[in-house]
Amino acid sequence: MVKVVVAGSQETGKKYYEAWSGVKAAEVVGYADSLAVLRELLQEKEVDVVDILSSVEASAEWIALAAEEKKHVICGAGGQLGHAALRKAKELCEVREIQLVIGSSLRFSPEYVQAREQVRQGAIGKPGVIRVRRSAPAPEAGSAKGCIFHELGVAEFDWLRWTFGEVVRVMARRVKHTDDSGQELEYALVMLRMEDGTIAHVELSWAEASERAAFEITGDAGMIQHDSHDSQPILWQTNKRLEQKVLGWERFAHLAQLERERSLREHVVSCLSKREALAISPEDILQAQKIAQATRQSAESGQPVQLMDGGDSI
Amino acid sequence: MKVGIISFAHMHAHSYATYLQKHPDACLAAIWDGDAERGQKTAAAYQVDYYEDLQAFLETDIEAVIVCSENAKHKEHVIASARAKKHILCEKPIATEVADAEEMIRTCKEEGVILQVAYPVRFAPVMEQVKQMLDDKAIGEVIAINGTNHGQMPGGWFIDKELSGGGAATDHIVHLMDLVRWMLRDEVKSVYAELDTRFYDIDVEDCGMVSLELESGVIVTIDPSWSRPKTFPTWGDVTMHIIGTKGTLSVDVFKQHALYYNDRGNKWQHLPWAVDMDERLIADFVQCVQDGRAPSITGEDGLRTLEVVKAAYESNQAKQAVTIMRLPLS
Repeated sequence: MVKVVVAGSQETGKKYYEAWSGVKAAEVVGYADSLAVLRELLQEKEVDVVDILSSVEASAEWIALAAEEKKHVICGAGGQLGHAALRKAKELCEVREIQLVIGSSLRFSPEYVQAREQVRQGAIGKPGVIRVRRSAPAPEAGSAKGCIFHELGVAEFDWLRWTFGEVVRVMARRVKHTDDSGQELEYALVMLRMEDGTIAHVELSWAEASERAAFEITGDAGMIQHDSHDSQPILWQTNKRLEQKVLGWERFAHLAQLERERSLREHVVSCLSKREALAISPEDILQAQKIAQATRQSAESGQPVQLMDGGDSI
Repeated sequence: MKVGIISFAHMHAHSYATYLQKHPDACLAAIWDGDAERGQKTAAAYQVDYYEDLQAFLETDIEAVIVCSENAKHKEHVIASARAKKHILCEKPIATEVADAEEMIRTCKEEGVILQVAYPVRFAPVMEQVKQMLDDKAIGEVIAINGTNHGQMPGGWFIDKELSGGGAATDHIVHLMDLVRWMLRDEVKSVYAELDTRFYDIDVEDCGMVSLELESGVIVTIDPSWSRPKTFPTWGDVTMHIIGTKGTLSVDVFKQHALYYNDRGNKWQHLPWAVDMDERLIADFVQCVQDGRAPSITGEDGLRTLEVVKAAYESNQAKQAVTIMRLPLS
């Protein structure tokens, strides 16, 4: 049985308890809502994995503490860690010979996993043009908000790289707008050229009323399309006279999110017990961050940016 | 009002011919075609006279012509028609070179004839509604547009660079570009493009992506790829995701269709039921000639969109964003 400590606020911790409760070979042995509590738990109890929730700020310190105690780490917000902080965390975990698993990846979303499998099996033939879309409401006015290329883009860039190979060149444009209430909109259009010549287009939007994700993969032998708005198996609408606070599809989106979290955790537990390599490494996220950084640089300069192999120049 | 059609090389000519015949105040009176066999066949089908000699065709009493020849021949046919004092509706793109477009515009102006470019999507009721909503600030100020004009690979002369001027970029950037200029009354500042041939073994590009910044700072992507598979249930699409400061608009111009699962044909098909935009384009052109007013879509509209296409090719070569140098028009 893999023993887990969930690190983060009690509130979000409950959500993750749900995700863990579906993982057979694991049990949650404690919650830590502060670094002090985490230190105490790790010293007192037998713990294998620390699951640092995405709501935790300054997660680098939490990773460092877990690594110090030689516990494996799942970090929900790892993609939002700065490049340097993530590299440092990665090196720290390597030295301690523990696994660092970065969450919020499309590698655990069944529709994206399936699409990649189909591409790799040759279902669409030689890839041609790939269109990807990720939309979400803008973060609340005043809340700390990172760069759209990193926060919304990294997972998309990782999936594109995982499925179609390395990126050689990027071009991006971005617009921002702040309305009278201080609410900031941000929107970006990104073009990637892959090593094998595939052209990818990524739409990143913090200008929407609701979340939406879509992809369209075309090749010389076919096309695969998916849109989260068109794949809702349940549409719940209340009587016209009643105000509906939760839209019908939001319930299902929540379940899908929970399933992704569970699937990731099951994968981690399985890999740990079998001593197998994980489907995503910190290096993958570092590479996706490099692409995000290049797109940001391109948006600032108005010119394309070439990505060099290896190195850490960007 | 008698109208002639110059060449049926472009398949849109059939749609225009049909709507000319349906129009209460206009009729298709004559056809010229460089391909005699095609010309005779279509003339017989529409029950009009076929002319093998362009000059003889232009000496008839037709008031206006619709030019649907191969892109590279638009210049020759538009200039000859203008010299014969015929009003002109020219299939898009206006020409294959900016200098040719300029000469066509100048000649039509000198001869006092109307030159309209066929961008029918402006006349789709969907687009009129979208433009009205944008003018009414339904989504505030527009800050970005993510657009597609996909198609299936058309083959024929469309993939012969000598006749078409280029592939998917030549064929499909202009429609979206015209809609953007028309909706936003804005011009392009910077163009970046990645173009390639990845779907078919042909000599022109069949796919790509074009990134634009407009003078106002609005950002735009146009996907002009011939990326619709052979099994796609229709010819292609025109879609736009328009981002405004107060909301967004998702536009799918050809969404009004029923889906037909055709067992006999072993395929799926869209059965469009929307008002036909070509019918309204023809009606607008006929009215424009009758009233002697300025055309709804000018030669300059054709030239400005062509400039963007040319900049896309240049950018793709240089792998750099290109700043548009707009040709001054007198």
